[in-house]
Formats: sequence, structure tokens, C-alpha cells
Amino acid sequence: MKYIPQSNEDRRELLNAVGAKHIDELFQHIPSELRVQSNLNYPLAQSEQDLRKTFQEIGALSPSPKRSFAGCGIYQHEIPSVVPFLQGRSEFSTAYTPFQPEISQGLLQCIYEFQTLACQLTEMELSNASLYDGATSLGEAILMALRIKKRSKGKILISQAIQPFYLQVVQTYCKNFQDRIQFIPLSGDHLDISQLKQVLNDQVDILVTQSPNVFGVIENYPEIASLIKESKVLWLTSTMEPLSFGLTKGPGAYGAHIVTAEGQSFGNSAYLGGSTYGIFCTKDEFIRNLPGRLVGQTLDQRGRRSYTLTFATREQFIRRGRATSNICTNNNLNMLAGLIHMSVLGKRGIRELAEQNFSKTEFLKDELRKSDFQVSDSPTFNEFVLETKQPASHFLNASSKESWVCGVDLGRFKEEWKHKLLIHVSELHSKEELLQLTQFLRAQSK
Amino acid sequence: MAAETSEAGFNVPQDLLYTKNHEWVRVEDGTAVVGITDYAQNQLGDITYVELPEEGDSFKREAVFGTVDSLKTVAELYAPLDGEVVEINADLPNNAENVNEKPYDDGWVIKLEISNEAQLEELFPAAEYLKFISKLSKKK
Amino acid sequence: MKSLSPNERLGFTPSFEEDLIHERSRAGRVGYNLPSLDVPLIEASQLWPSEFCRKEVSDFPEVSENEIVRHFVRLSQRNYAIDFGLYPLGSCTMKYNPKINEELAQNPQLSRLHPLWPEEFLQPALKIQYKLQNLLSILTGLEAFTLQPSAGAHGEYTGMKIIQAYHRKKNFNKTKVLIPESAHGTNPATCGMLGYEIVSIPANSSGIVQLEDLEGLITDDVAGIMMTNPNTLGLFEEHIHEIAKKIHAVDGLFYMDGANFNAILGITRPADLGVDVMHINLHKTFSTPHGGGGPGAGAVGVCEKLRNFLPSPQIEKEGSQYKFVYDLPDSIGRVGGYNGNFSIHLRALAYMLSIGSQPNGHPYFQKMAEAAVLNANYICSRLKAFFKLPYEKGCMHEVLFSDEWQTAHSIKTLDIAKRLMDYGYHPMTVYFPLVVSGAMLIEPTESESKESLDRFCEAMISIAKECKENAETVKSAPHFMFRERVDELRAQKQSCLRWKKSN
Repeated sequence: MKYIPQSNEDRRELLNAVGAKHIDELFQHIPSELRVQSNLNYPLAQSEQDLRKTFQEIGALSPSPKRSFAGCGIYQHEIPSVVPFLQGRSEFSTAYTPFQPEISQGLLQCIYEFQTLACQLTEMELSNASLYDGATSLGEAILMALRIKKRSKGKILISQAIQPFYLQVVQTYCKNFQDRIQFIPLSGDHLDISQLKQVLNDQVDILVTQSPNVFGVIENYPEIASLIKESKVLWLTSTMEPLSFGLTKGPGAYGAHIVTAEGQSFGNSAYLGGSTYGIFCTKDEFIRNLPGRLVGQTLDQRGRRSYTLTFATREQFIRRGRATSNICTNNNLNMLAGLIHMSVLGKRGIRELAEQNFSKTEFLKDELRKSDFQVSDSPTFNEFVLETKQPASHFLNASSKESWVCGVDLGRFKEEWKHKLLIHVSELHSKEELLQLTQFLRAQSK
Repeated sequence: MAAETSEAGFNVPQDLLYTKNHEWVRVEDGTAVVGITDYAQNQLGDITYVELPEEGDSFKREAVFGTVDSLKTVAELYAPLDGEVVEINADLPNNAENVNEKPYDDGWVIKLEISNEAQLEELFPAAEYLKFISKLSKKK
Repeated sequence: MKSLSPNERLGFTPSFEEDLIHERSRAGRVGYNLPSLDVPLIEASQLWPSEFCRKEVSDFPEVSENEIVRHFVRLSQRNYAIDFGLYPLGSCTMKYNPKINEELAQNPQLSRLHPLWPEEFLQPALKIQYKLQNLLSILTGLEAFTLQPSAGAHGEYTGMKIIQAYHRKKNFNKTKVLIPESAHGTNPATCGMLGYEIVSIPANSSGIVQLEDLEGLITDDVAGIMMTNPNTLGLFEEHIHEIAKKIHAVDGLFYMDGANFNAILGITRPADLGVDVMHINLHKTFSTPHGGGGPGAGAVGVCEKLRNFLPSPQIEKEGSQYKFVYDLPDSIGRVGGYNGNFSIHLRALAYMLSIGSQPNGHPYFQKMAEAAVLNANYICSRLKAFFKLPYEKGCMHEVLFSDEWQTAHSIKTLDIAKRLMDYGYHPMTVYFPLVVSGAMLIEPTESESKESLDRFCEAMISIAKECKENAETVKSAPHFMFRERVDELRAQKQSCLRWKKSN
């Protein structure tokens, strides 16, 4: 078997050396009635040729959409050629966690660079090495805030405008604190700030918001900032599209205490939404409560600059039952892709890319308005909601018949949203395609 | 006060009481000042952080009231007596090296209001603690 | 001029000091190109309130493409990897990552799949996940699976949450979980996250849980037990079947940490041992790349009575169509953003399809387990004269040594680990499990040839000799790595966790 470098001859030699006549002797302490006696009806082993065929057949089970305008947390961006090239190097992909710094300086330096970029993007002081994804990062953020506020039993205010899958994850993580959660309703397509003002008092511990929100709308963070400024409320933010930080201020600039984001837009293909990585940033003062890995700078015995995992006693392998989290990974390879992509874009590229996304989205919105469609005036970045007379599903069915996807039907989340079609536009959509989409929507509205 | 030292060279002040978990207790007007011993800090290595309880927290004897972190380990701190925390050494987390350098002075951790005086009888006096750690050092 | 490394097999390639990407940055350099904008450029400031707008992402690097490539290629060379050499990390299963899996994963039909597309476009993904769950079911005997957890620890969280939901539905007040002292840190950490009280089962001299250790511990408020099998000492838990019975007697549930599944694939099935819930690390047993720290994937399998508690959505097959099922009233809900780490699932499926049955002879997956166990036993037989074996019982796929004999020369496990690097190896797992002082846990996996094992053993034997004859060299190792011993205390005391312009 090509993955096992052990011929029958090798096996004999090894058995001899350990003093066993037959391999079964090494398993003799397993009671025989518990031993597997057959091949379990497991399918026959496939060769490489077989595998290619199998996967080709699987791939052909569905048509591959020619075009897609679906976003809602997983976005389409061109991945530069250098990203898969570098990420695919086996020194990165077949390496283990850099627990031994002397032999892992490369990986450690990458994480250190990523931590820096994450801080710069979000305008925060401290970042970890990344978590699983945007949704679980938000769950972890709430658990972290609860640790910071350890004695208090105050309320956790959560915006209704957060993407529902994210909210579901938050519900799972916060199951044991359900009674402390209070949702802040919407006013149209954004958080109702006047409602927020009303419920903010000293009985509130935590505020959780997302921007751009599930409707693609950018929330009024300057106003929220002024509301919580004098209070002791911990403000946690979430972002599904971190490219938006190319144009918006980072939540750190408004005084957010923990900032989380889905990292997928930088460096990672969709792959059904996984694997990606979660960006997690906070203030220096909260370091002891921070989940996830952390890399710090130091010196070696010869005084040379070096990097190492640090503040390790927060983590499960040391603190065990009292750990900040049970997390044991940092989705490193996805984070690495993000690091490389952000480096490639750099200061000018991230702005230019964000501007292209923004401009194309606004172009489409204008075209739709010209065709008498209802498009809100709220500020958006690269996705927005089209209010539709027929249910959004009607349009999706029509585009599916032609083998493409015109957006996300928000009705899949809530019945009252079934006339909302969420459309994502990126640098990948040409002007032609935007005009075609407009035409299609017009035709289907009749 | 004169201190007694064990054969291995650990400082064990005469005027304190000790637990088998290597905490020391100094009684001051019904309050127990608590810290960890010279032996304990030596075992842990460079201490990087101390996790403290809050004033007003109550603990039963042997309950975990905090932790001491070194680079690679976390050691739990056990309450030597039943009591309520009346003061914590708030400077300690940022000056954790005091636990290594001055375990019996600036390295104090909490002050407990003693609720059950009788429990003091069950703590080790210095001589007994000295014997205890001498045995441990020999075990190697 | 550096002298040759101790086993004279480590040559030297040029290795450059590499600045941070930010330090390579020069204003005005670019690493990207975008097609020109085919619609009018609109500035955010034209439409947004000015307080929303950002001038620029301050101090983001500006580096040309070729400089970026050079930077990361150089950094890649400053690591150790499975493709480089034997990685003896116990409990990690550092086996070979097949390249056909990588090729199949690049298929754009699969990489483009968006989780919120209509299901008619997602059939390839649904089938892949469905098939993967099926194969895992066959190997474990557990009837139902979820692939939503993003990692092993995430799987533990999911599995324990299922147990919690099961008892809550029955209105039982189950507050405790039994965990052996030797358990991996994620086990108690997971229980901590869920508010369970941890009852520790103390270690004993046999290395496995004996029935008398559980005396008095299995009370009515016990939700269950979390065990790893083989355990973290590399030993098979021989009483696992009876332990499961005792737990079931109080309607408790048995959670198995599947980190060491590689040792028992095709040898015994967890469901037959009495396991109710189990997580499997696809990046360990099923060869998906470790990536320098992730991504992993944690599949969780459950027995039939727990099926309804699995995270939502689940996958069902109707005729030839696959679909997501969301209407699951008893489900613990969603534990991850979308559908788990699909990019990892497809690699794992490719692997699982390639390790199947042979027309004549034992299935490959069984041969894998046998080879893994044989290799570890071989290392045990070669090294036990030089390093103390705390448990004389035969090991399975990993062997545990301690530094007891070396401490006589005041050498500790850490020093041995650092010296091993000078011989061209990544260190083994050190100081885990915690129940053995100075633990060294070695897991070669089935991917190593006999010569590879021999060379590794020779390096370890040489170090054992050095501990007696040349202790100073061991204590101050490594000498031939890119960096010598790193000051970890300084990293914390003078913490510097990101680059800043003024640095």
C-alpha cells in the first residue's frame, strides 16, 4: 500500500525485533469479542485513477453556476496567484503547531505579521493568531466578555440585524445565559438606535453589533460609540466582510472592546463556507482573558530577534478546566492565505479593491433605481437588499433555471424577510453582468 | 523573627503557619494573611501571573481561590481556612516576580477574615512544615 | 565556520535573516494589479457620513510581488514538516498527507461552492459529506454523524453539548463528568465551558482505568465519562466495556476522545466498546494537513438515541437527491457558521476511499493501524534500555518515556527535546500527559519506514549517551537551528505582540 512503507519483509524484521511472532500479539489485550472480524463491508480501495473519476462524477452532480451574486458572509474575490502557490508549500501545510520555537521561526513570524495586520485593519491594540471563523469568533467574544465581567449578571444586548447563522452560533454558545440576552430591534434595515438608547443602563454588561449587517447596511458606529462612551458596557463587534475596513474606520476607532470578523474574503475560496478563519482583536488590558494562540517577539540565547507562542497559561493544554477556551487550533493555513493576500494588496491595494467593490455596487443600485426598483438609501459596502414585489425565491428559481444565482433569498432565515433579495457585488462582476442582472430582475418582475 | 531553613536551603519563617499545599498564613487580628512558601515558588520557577479572587468572596477551607502561573504551569491556590476575602494584593498580578523574590512580604496574595479559629490548630507550625518539605526534597 | 551537526547528516543551506513584511515595505511599491474599473469611480465620502470614512489603513505594508514570494519562501524554510522528516509528536498522528487529496481539492467546481446557493447547485458537497459520514459510521459503528465542528476541540464541545441536551430533555440534574487525570487539556476545558463539574479519576500504576478507581464516583448526578482510547499513555483501556456499562447504569453517556483512533481502525469499533458519542480528528487519523496549526476538522458520531440532538442542519438522501434538513426540534443548534470545514472533508473522503478493502486480504485501514502499532512498539523495544518506560505494559501506536534516568545528570525532557533538533528532528511531544513527570510521547505513525525509525532511534540513543558524557551540550541545545534557545520568559515579561511603526 503506497502510504505504508512496510513490506512483508519489513514487517517480519520489525516483529522479530519486538519479540512477536504475529501482529495479533500486539493487540492481544483487546478482548476477542470486541475485535472486528470482517472488513465491515467497507468499499474497495480506490486508486488515484479511480479517485479522479469518482470526484469528477461527484462534481458533475450539479451544474456549476455561471455567475453568482450570493454573499451574506462568504464573498467572491479574486485570489492572487501567489496565494495558493505559497500556501501550498508543504513546509507550511504539513507542519505542526509551532510549539518548539527554535525549529518553527517561519510559522511564528507569519502569525506575528498576521496579528499586526489584523490590528491595523481593525484599529485595535491586540490580536490573536485567529480562530475558526467569524461566527464562532463572535461566540468566543461573548464568552470572553462574560469572563471580564465575571461577577456581574447584567444584560447582553444583541442586535437583531446580525446574520441569523451567526446568531444561532451565539445562541448555542450562550445557552447557559439565555435569560440575560435581550435583542435590540431593527428600524428598517439597521439597528434601532433610539431603542438602544432606551435600554442602555447600568444593568447592561455587553453590547453586540454587526456591521455591515445582514442587509449589507453599515451601522452608525459613531453614534453607538457616543452612547456607550461613559458607560461600563463592553462593546463587541462582528464583520462578515473585512474588505469593508478598506473604506470604513476600524471598530477600534470607535472604542469597541472586542472586534471579530470573518477572514474568508482575504485569501480563501468559498468551499461551502469552510475552512476559513476568524479574526479576533481586543485591547491590551484584556490579554489574560483572550482565547486562542498568541505569538510574541523575544530574543534567543545569542540575542537575536525571535518569535514564540506566549501567554500560554491561558490555554487548554496548561489551564485545562479553567482555560479561556478549549480551542486548540488557529486555522493557520487559512490565516496564512489571508496574510499573503493582505500583503499582496497592501495599503493601496486594499483601498483600491474596496473602492472597486463599492463603485460597482453603487452602479448596480443606481441602475436598479432607474428601473423603479426599491433600493434603500442606507449606506452599504458591497452588498445590499432589493425589496421585491414577488418573493425573492421567485427570482432565485428563475436564475437557477438558467444556471446562475442572482443573490440570497433572506426569506430562508425569516418569513418576514421573504421579499428581500440580498445581492453581493465584487470586483469580479463586470459592468456587462451588472446590466444583465438589472435586465433580468426587470424581466422577472413583470 | 528568626527563620529556620531546611537542608535544601528553603526559607521557612518561624512565626508563620503552613499548609500541605505550600501556603503560609500570618495571623493579624483575626485576619489571615496568605501567600505561598519559598519552597513552592522555587518549584514553580519564574512566576508570570497571579489570578486573584475579589474582595468579598468567601471560601471554604481547601477550596481553590486563585492561581499562580509560571511559564508552563498553572498552580491552584487553596484556602487554608474558611473565610471571606477582605483584601487582595492588587499590585501582585503585574509584579508577579514578588512571589519569587519576596514570598513572605510583598508576595502576599490575600487577606482572609477568619471565621473558624479552631482551624488554625490544624495548620502546620514551621518545624512540621520543614520536616514535610525535607521529605519531599529527598523523594527525588 | 560551524562544525557538522552530531550525526553528520544535517547539512547546511543558506538561511537568511528575514525582516517582517512591514519592515520590507517601501512607500509606493505594489504587489497587486486589478483590472481597470469599468464603472464610474465613486468615493465612499460622497455617500457616507464623514465619520464612517477611513483615510487609509495606516502602515499596511507596500511590497512588490516578487519580494512577497521571496519573503514567504524564506519563512517556509524555517520550519519542520512531515514532508521533511519523521515527526515524532505523540497524540498528533503526523502521518503522510497524500498529494492526490490536494489535487482533488483544487477542483474549482468544489472550491466555488457557496453555502447559501440553492441546493440544486450543492449536490457535490452534500454527497461528499454524506459519503464521508457513512464511511465514518462503518468504521466506528456509530449510527449518525455531524461534520459541522471545525476542529477536534470544537467536536468535543459539540459532543458534550449533545450529552447535556439529552439529560436536559429528560429533566435530569446531571452536573458532573468523570475525566481521567491523563486526559488531554481540551477535555476538562470543554467541560469548563459547559459548566460541568469535573471529577478527576486519579492515575494509577497500571496506566489504565481500573474498575475500583470508579468506586463511589459514579453517582446519579454523573452525566458521563470522557475517555481517550488508547489513552494518552498509549495504552488500550482494557476495562472500557465494563466502564461503559457502569456509566449507562445511571443513564450516563460515554464520550470517547478519538484523537488516538489511528491505533484501532479496523481492529475494534468504538460503538462495540460502549461509546455513545465520539469525535474524530480528520487531520490526525484521516491524513488532512495540519497546516502549521490548523485548519482541522472534528467529525462527531453518536449512537442512535442521540441522533436527534446533532447540530442543525443534517444531511438526508431522498432518492438521488441530497438535502439539508433544518427542522430538528431537539438539535443543539448550530455550532459553526456554515457546514464545517468542507475543504478538509473532501480531502478526508479521498483518503477514506483509498484506504478501503482489498479484494483479497485485510482492508488497508486495518493494515494502517497494525503498522502504526508495530512501529511504535519497535521504537519502544530499541529505546527502553536508554529511557525509562513508566508503564511496562505494551504500548499501542505511541510510546511514553520519562526523563527519570537523565535527571540524574540534571538533564530534563526539555533539554533532550532541544538536542533532538540538532540531529535534524522535530522534538516529540513533551510534558504531556501530565501524570508522568518529564513525559516524552512518541508516535511514529505507519508512514515511517524501518530505516527512518532506526535513524530516529540512533539519534535518541546518541542523546542518551550525551546526557552522561556531554551534558552541557544537551543542556544548551539546540546549536544548529536557525535560532538557539528562545527566551520565553522575556516574551511574556516584555511582551511585544505586534509590530508598530515606532519599533
